[in-house]
Amino acid sequence: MQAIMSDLLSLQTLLALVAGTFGGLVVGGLPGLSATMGMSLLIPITYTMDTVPSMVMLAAVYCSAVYGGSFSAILIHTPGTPASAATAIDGYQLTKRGKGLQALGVSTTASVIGGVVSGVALLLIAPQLVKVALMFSAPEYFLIAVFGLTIVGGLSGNNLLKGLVSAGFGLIIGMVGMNIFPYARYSFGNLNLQGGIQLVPAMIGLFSLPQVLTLAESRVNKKNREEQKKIQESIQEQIARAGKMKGHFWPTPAELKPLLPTILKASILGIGVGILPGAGGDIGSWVGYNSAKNGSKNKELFGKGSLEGIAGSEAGNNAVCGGALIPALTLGIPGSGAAAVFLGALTVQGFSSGTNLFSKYADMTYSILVGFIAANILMGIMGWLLSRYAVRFAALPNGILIPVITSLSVIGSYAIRNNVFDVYVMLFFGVIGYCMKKFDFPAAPAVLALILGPMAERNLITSIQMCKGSILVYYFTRPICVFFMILIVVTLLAPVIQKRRREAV
Amino acid sequence: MKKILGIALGAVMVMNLTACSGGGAGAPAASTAAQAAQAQSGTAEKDGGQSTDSGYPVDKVTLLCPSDAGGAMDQNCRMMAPYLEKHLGVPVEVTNMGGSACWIGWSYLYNEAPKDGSCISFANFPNMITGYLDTANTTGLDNTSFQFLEMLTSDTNIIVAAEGEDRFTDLESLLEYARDNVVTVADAGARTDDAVCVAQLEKASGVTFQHVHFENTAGGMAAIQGRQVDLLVCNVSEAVEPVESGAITGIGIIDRERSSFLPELQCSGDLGYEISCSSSRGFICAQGMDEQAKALVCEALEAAMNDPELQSAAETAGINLAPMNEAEFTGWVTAQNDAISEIFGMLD
Repeated sequence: MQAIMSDLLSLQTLLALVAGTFGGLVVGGLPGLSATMGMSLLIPITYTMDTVPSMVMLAAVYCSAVYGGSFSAILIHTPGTPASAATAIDGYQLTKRGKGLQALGVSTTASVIGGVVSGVALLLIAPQLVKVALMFSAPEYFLIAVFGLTIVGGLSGNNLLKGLVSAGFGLIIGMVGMNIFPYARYSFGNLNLQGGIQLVPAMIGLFSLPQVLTLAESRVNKKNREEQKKIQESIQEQIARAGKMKGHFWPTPAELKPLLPTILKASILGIGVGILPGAGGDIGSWVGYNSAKNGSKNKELFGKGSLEGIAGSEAGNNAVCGGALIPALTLGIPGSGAAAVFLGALTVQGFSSGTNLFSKYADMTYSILVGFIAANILMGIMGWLLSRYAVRFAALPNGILIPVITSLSVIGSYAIRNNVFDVYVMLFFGVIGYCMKKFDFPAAPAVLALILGPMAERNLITSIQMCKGSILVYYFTRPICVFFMILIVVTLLAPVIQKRRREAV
Repeated sequence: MKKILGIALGAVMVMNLTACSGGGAGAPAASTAAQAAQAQSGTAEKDGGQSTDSGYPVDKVTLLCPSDAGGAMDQNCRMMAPYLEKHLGVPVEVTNMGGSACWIGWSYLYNEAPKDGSCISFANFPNMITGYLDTANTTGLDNTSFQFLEMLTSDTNIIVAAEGEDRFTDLESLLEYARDNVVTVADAGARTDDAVCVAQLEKASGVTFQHVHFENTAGGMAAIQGRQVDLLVCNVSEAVEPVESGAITGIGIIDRERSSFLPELQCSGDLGYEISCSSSRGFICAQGMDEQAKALVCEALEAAMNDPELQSAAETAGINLAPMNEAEFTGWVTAQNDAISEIFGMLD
């Protein structure tokens, strides 16, 4: 306990916590910059830091960016991160009616509660899960990876086919280089490709660069000058309005009481969504929003300014943060894209997930987890202090955003291995990501497949090596395997059955 | 507002710069150590450049770590850098260049790095040997492309089993059991020292095992503790603590002699097998490096290995120092090259 406190209260950790929380709020409030991107750009900076401060900083960026997205969602109807899309619906309606500050207060309260509940869940579940982690071996990991890939449908947005194409692209990219046997595939004799495509440059390319290119498109020219001017004016007007908001920020106990069940329900659902591989804050917020709507007595208010909707969405997306770290720290399977970055940074620090984190390095791990909870509380306080000003970040001029993001992307890709090749990888994926964005292909399935594809392949082969006889008997005699096989079948069949039933009615 | 943004932009740029120099985190402190060393020896004359002070032909040495920051190789390099600097008299900077099982870095060392003594590298064995023996390796390099300056550390291979294993208790009973039964043995990857160790044991004893390739030792360690596999091959440094705490059972050491860390365990030498398997790491340079520089680096490396400060730093970090000078190291690489060539086909 003492070791945990002394780790947490060191100057470097406290500074990292404050800087991470503030940075996360800014990144989250800026439309287009997501938590995953903010974290992956920070990885090179963590190289020179100690483990606890660097991981606390990343955890703080993660949760406060997810929360920060609600500011621009509520005040200017533009979700700062995809995780706040559900918040924007009702939040902006409230802002228009002059209740913006109240909406921010509810979103803050819900985010903090969701985040802290998920942090506590992380503290309680992870050490238990790590105990049964020894029962997980190659066959289970193979099935978890396959199960993760079946979730692609949920990440695909409106068009399942486009999601599958994106995932297929990720699977092919994941085959480049060597897997379990040291025979390089699709390397074309290139030494750099023999080691495979590095995940972080590919992620930076797919997530950050398309955003920059899209921003660059909206350059003011003669044709759209009037239009741009109008947009700028309306943003300025909204900011001015936000500065003059009246009312109280924190909800009174009487106001909070009816919201609390919604918040807790959405938090628990959010943790569940977080644990699922690949499903991140965007799904968490919709799941939370829908659960709030289904359980509400005032369903007609949804879409027209419901505080319950905001509470459900924001508790849901922040609960995903802690949930996503549970499988990441215990089994090495990231529960979301941001958790994948977190895991990558932990590897850079020289630690691998699993039993050791909760036994040999328990002090360090618990310091990070307590830091995560502290970050969730700190972000609420900072959000409260900044509530009248934070919206300004949404109006950062492109002239500053574009060069900053571009230079961070290039430096971030290079600094991982001091290898220029990784910068080319980032640029290549940036162009692909831009095309995907233009033609409405989602990028998340590609990243998910890039992580899970090689994992599935490696563990399938390892399990064949382990089986001593029939591979089918081996799989079907392992209880956890059978559980995951049923889960996979149910996930794949559920939409079909639902459709049949709907048609039958 | 513009002003604040300007400051923020400036701060980001500064952060970028620190990130870029991240590879040389130890550099500032280390260079002061070098200056201190010079001051002590009284050679820090007013206008003599560093190169003339130390007699070393270049101002600065880059120690290339061919794997990513944070790994075991990186830690070894960063542990050695200040002591090499102290005994060489010029700043030594560690640069990470990971990728393709170290071949990105070694290929850079041979093909692109200057040969004037300003770039040396770290290398791990037998990975380097299994790497160039692979016909798919497109670099065209092998042991004749490099010179082997000084061995730093050696970590013997050990075979362990799950807690409470009763089918076999030592190396002899294991081999007896494995003659009639399928025994799965986990290693940390198809070209690692662990896989090489299993293949060498198979060749020497005539017994075959079912190889199970994990991504790293952590994966294999979880598998053995969860009884998913029968055996795990790893290194003594990784096994001492769990064997002593009873989390796993030690079976045997694959070396000519018993290990001083776990002396009660049978070694393959006890059974009359002339094999010696380990994960070893040392310092190398490209063939054709400036002779005078090479001699000075070898001398400095040897002095650093005898430095009590380095020895205590290594002990704290749990690193088993295994000094070998240039001649011994070169001979060792040749012997390993011959032994591994014979079993290369058995690795998968």
